[in-house]
Amino acid sequence: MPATAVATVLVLTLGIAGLLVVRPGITSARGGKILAFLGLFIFPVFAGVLGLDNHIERSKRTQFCLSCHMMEPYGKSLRIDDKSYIPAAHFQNNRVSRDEACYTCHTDYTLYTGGVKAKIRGLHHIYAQYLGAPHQPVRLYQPFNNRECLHCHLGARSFEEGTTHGPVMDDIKSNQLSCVSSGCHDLVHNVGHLDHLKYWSPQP
Amino acid sequence: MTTEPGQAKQIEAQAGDKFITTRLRLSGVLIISGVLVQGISLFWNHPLSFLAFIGIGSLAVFCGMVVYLFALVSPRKS
Repeated sequence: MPATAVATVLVLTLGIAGLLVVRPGITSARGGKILAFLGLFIFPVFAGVLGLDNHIERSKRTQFCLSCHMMEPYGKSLRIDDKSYIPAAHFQNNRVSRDEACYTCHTDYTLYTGGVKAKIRGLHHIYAQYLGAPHQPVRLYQPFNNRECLHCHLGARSFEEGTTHGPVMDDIKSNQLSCVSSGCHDLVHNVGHLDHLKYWSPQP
Repeated sequence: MTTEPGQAKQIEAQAGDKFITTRLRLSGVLIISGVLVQGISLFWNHPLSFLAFIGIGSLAVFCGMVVYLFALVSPRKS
């Protein structure tokens, strides 16, 4: 939802609510009652829904994820100049959108899935960021789900018919064999070893 | 001193209007505050902005809507 649409609804709500605060007497007429219902109920609901949608879409952006201090090493790992690092290779070659690089491979983050427990974890992340001691390196609550790879790779001929993946395809699809398991694509963010690596700088 | 039936109805109506007016104003102020917080949070690119949107903005808007809806259905008090 474009930000302008959200802004329009917010401004309309502010205008009508402001008018009712200054001149509540207008609700004695039928038109005033309808206006009050729009300004004090319908538009605020719309503003809330559109604003929530805007926030969720914005939270998928790489820039948003990296705005937490403890995520900075993970952002840095996207620029490692070594194609064997899976996130870096995907980011640098536009295999994932650079604007939504984190979300593309981590669609099961607390905001997007999970129940109350997941939301409490999200609040814990805020607490750890500002008041506690964040655990470094960050660990996933659940093992990395192959679904994150398969939502792009599944169906690709080179992937499904290749001699490497073909024989173990059933295990990959059922998550019995992790894509990032040792011996496969096990070089991921590796934030503990970032100091000894070369980095790619995109051309301006 | 006794009040005539017509006057009594007028006084009752004025009291009812005052009751509605007060609640409409309260509802309006809560909704304006909430919407302002929601609006500001949309321009703040930070994880805390989402909490501000939900925890402060949406809560204030919700309270404002509840006050308005209660004002509509509550019996008018003098």
